[in-house]
Amino acid sequence: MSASLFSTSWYRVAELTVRLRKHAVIHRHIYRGKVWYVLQDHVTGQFQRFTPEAYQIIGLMDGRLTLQEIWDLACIRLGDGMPTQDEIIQLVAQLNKANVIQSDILPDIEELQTRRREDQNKKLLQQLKSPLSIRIPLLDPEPFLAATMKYLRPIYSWFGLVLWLVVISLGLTLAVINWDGLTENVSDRILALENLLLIALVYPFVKIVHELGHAYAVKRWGGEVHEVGIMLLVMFPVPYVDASAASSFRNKYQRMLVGAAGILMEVFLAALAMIVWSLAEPGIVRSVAFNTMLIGGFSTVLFNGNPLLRFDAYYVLADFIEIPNLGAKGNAQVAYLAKHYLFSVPNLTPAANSRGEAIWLTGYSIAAYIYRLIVMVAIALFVASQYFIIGSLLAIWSIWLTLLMPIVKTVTKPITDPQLRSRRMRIFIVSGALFVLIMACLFIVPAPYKTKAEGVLWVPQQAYVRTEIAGFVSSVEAQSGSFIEEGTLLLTLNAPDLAARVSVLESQVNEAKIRLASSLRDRAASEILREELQFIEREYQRAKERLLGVNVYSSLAGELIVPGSSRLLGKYLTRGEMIGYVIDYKNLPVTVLVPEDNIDLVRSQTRTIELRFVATPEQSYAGEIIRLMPASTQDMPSSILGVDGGGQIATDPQAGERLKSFRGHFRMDLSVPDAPKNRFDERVYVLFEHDPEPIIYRWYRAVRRVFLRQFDV
Amino acid sequence: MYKRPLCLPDSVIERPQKHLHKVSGLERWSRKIASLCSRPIRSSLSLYRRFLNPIRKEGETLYPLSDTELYKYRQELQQALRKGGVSDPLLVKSFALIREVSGRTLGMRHFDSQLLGGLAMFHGNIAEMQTGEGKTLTATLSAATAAMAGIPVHVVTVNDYLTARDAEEMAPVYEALGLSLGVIVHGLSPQERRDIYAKDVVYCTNKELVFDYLKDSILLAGKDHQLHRHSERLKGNQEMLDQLMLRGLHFAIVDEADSVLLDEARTPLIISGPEIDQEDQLLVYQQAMSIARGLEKITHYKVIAREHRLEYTDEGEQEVLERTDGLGPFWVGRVRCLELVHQALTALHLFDRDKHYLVDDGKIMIVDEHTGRVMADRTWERGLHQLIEIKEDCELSKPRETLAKISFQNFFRFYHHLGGMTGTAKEVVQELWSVYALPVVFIPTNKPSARKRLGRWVLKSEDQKWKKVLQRITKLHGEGRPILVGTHSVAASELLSEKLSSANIQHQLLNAKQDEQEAEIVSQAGVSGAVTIATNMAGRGTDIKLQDDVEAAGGLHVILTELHEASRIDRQLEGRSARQGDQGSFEVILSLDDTILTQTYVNWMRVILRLPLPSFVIRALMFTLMRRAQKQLEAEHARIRAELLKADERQREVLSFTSSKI
Repeated sequence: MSASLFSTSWYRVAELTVRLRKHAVIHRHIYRGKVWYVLQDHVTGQFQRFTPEAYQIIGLMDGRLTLQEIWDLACIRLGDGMPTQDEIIQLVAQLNKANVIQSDILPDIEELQTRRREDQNKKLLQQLKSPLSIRIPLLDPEPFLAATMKYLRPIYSWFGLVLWLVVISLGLTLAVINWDGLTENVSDRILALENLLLIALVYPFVKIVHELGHAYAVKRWGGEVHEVGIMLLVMFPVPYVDASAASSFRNKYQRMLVGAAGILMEVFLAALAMIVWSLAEPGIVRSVAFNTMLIGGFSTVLFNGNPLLRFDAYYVLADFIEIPNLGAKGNAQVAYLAKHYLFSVPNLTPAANSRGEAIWLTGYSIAAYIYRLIVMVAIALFVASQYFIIGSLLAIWSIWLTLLMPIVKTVTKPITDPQLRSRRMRIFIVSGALFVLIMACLFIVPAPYKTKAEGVLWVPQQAYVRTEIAGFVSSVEAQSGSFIEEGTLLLTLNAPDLAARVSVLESQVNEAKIRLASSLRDRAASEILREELQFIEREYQRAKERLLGVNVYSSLAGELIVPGSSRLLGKYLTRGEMIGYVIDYKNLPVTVLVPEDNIDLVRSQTRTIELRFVATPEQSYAGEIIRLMPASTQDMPSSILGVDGGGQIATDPQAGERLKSFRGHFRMDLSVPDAPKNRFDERVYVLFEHDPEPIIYRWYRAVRRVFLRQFDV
Repeated sequence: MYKRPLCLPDSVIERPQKHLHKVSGLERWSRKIASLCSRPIRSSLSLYRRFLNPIRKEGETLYPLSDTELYKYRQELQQALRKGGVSDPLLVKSFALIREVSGRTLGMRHFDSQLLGGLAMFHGNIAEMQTGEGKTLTATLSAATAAMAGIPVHVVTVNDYLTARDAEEMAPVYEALGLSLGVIVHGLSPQERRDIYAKDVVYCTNKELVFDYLKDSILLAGKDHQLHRHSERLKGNQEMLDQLMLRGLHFAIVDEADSVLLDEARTPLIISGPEIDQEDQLLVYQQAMSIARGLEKITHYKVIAREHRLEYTDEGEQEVLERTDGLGPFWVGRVRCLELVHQALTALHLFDRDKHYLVDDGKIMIVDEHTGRVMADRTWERGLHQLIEIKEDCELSKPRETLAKISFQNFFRFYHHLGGMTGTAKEVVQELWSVYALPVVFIPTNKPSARKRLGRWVLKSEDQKWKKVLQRITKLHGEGRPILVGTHSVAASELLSEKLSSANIQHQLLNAKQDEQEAEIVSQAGVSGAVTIATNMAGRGTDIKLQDDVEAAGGLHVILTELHEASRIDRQLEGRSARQGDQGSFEVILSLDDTILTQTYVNWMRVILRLPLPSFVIRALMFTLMRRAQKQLEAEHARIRAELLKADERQREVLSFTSSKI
């Protein structure tokens, strides 16, 4: 027997007559096919949800019947669903707490006062509990909204929808067309100082439109809005309106629209801005339009449009799937699942009323938890990096409250919850086992530990065969694919222009000699001609030396590779053109860039090195370190390692023409004797395997590094 | 540092009592932290020891004074106390005076240990004084001091017998101090009570006090605030005000504090209204009983005796629903049917005759499980009483309606100042602090205790146990020592009585059925060769005076035949022997059939019995396990009490919309 029908305190309430106060209105809602009654208190703006059974009883509270009579009646009417006396007391207490009932006894002023104070304290506590989103109510916008509603009513109509659709599609189209212009060098443009100023100016305007969107939507279907204010979200001011009056709307689409109105307005604004942007000349107007787009289109959808955060989309989703209080119920459902399946606590009622609801609740709760985990850590790091001490405290506080507290609560609950106590042993064993398991995984079980890096099959500059002069290929002396020694003649060129120039210069030398000889009497002219002769002779010598370039030799020993060698004969090659390579495959190294963070491990703890080529990822090869540059460098051996080339390494945008990585790397050469090297300049994935190590040390190092980097501690 | 009672208005109209508000969140934490510092200080003896010398010195100056001079001294002191409240020097004077007066009137000057006890209580602590240290005399110090300062004092004891005895013994002291003394016992009229409560010091039993408080509360329903009462006075509603009895809850000294404040705290005290005539209701109970009798154990329900609770099986629920189908208009609704039959099953299987209740003259009398006494006029709630009457074929009483209800736990927290004394508080220090914010001060004994433990036995079965008990009684009886045998229930005491009768040993029996002759039996218990069998009625407060020759034979011997649900109760019973430095001894004879053992424990102990170990090791192991089981039960009870308190607090909050606060 879990609940007893009778209450030992019944005598205190049996003779009480109560009735609902006039300002409380009850709405009939349908959630997931079930009827619920929503009681709205127009004074406090609070809502309570009741089952039809409770509604029946509330209906009997007319100020004439005593609670005893009400209970007797309810027992007859509701049959098996009859309420226990405790439930009736609870119900009356709940209504009383919400200040929506009146009874035949004198109200206790002291008690009312206490309740008021408690409410205030609770609100204060709520703020303390979430220091990253503090609400500061400012004023009551109701008169303003009521006065201006008539101008905006047309917007909330089919016409408004069509207009919205037209503008949005126009904006989207323009955005697609101007995509390149929009996205060009985005980060520079956004973070430039004057632009930040502009954003600060545009932002309040956009957000006010957003909030007005909510407010007018509430007004549109008869609700009232009595509070606007500023919320400090991660210390950043954001306006808010209290749109809770929408909860009374019977049509869920109306409720959803209230929730979505803010986003819709902002997107609309963004679309308008897009149109302006595309029409305007570069200048202040265009910048303002750009920023409006940025805020309205991008940040809003990211923040408000995410149902996993308790912003607009959350409420829209909750209304859509007809589960009010989705987040809290989700947590309750997960707690239920844990209790039921892990701890096998008997006689539990799940938070979900149906299977579908259960899936929604569980899924939502888990997804939101994981998402919150990520966001909280990100926010915490961000805040902490801005204001170190306060930020760190705030961050720890909110991580504690949002992430750890629920877990701690679940673990400590068995001590206080009588329902769980009967299963205490099992709970402690199961959660203890889980805990030990997790801890063991973290601290004891050595997990394989690898560092990933990317490298390239790198060909040194000497291996390139290049022409020294321009000319036609007259003969090919060595075959592509053949193995050649150093200094082997590879091909000869026919350079008629150079040959002609040599013979011209030769004749000119002769001429100069003759002219010098004939000018012996004139000392001045003779000196000039001598100089001239020397100059021409030098020219001649140089031309002759260049003519030697008709014979192309290899500077290395190795395999000759000449792409398109069959078509080479008779081909005209410009000066410096690459003909092919002489590659010593055996000694061809893989050059790897290892990030600074990992170099120590790679250097001191590497057990094996595994390589995989991009083209044949299924095949892996063992490698060996042959050379390691002791100093960190930003120079990259090949562009394919950079992000632009498809690699992982971020390149430094400010380096200009030269190829530089953003962060420092250590360069090391690996020899891979077994690999068939048919290509070079090919990206290679390299896996350095270290000694297995429990995960926690890795985390510790990573956190430590972050702290060092971000906060210098 | 010193928490002392304050002088507050003391009329039925003002009726001051502490306002309890919900403590939550940060406040609770800050209190916890503060208490970490304050409790050890407040409970340290040195805080009170420093008064001893001044009191002794002051006593020396008082000693030679004549009665008239002492009278003058008293009057001046009283004036000073009323004027400025209790300060250190006045406290010293007052204690010295009371000590002197006590010496002159009773011939007993307070010992140092009693002075310490008095100081501890006066400063809002529980004084743990060993049994037989003269707590009654100790109480006069705090009570009279407060009374002289104009603070109404309630000295709360556990039963009428003790109340009357203590008050009578101490009356000369109060009289000599010029203080009026009142005694509230059973059977006084409201007018008499009102007059008694107007006296300076009132000795009363806990139950009478609480019931009087409840009666006042019923009158005051909806007029909870003193302004309400003032308005009643202005409206000329003198009649109602005349009916009020208590002048507020100022300062209470609770004797046997652990028993009153904790053990009995669980049972709510209820004032019932007139009988309600409900013929059809009674028929329903009969139907429920007949259905319950038709159900089978294990298939339909499970009895969890240790937790005193009963559970349906699924099949049982089905069966009940089938059987109740179409029985009448009352049998509507699943929950109601199940509940009624559940109640009937509870009456059948969880309440035993001569343990939980007696049947006397065709009436069910409830036995208090803590004091072993009959609780007159008490009934169980929600039809349980009627169902047990059906079970025992008694005439059906008519159900009564609850008018007001409170538990000790809540009541004593309303006091502005609370002190207490007991012989056994060691085990519950934490609980007394967390519930009542009462620190415990351990008062050293005046003379070292001469109590000897003669043996501990854990036997395999109940039969063996009684054999052993009989054997021990015969032996010690032969030596001419008085023996007190403690039993757990009325039934057990009667069983032993039968066995003794058949062994031709003369003995007397003290249990709930013989409570009229209590005083006489107790006075006989110290006679040489007397054998007294008693339930825990003979525990707290029972002072067995030894005959002169008994002391030489080795004093009173106590045999415990079962461990109670708290070791404190055992210690109380042991404490009947060797009081105030007398000779005395006790022994413990238990069996594996005792109720405090769960099956798991029994199994373990059977294994231990078979182990090849020296017998003294086995005995020690067995006894340790017994104690362990007892400890577990104690913890369980403490937890239930804590939960009850929490539930009470929650309920109070929930019910804050009702007019009365009780």
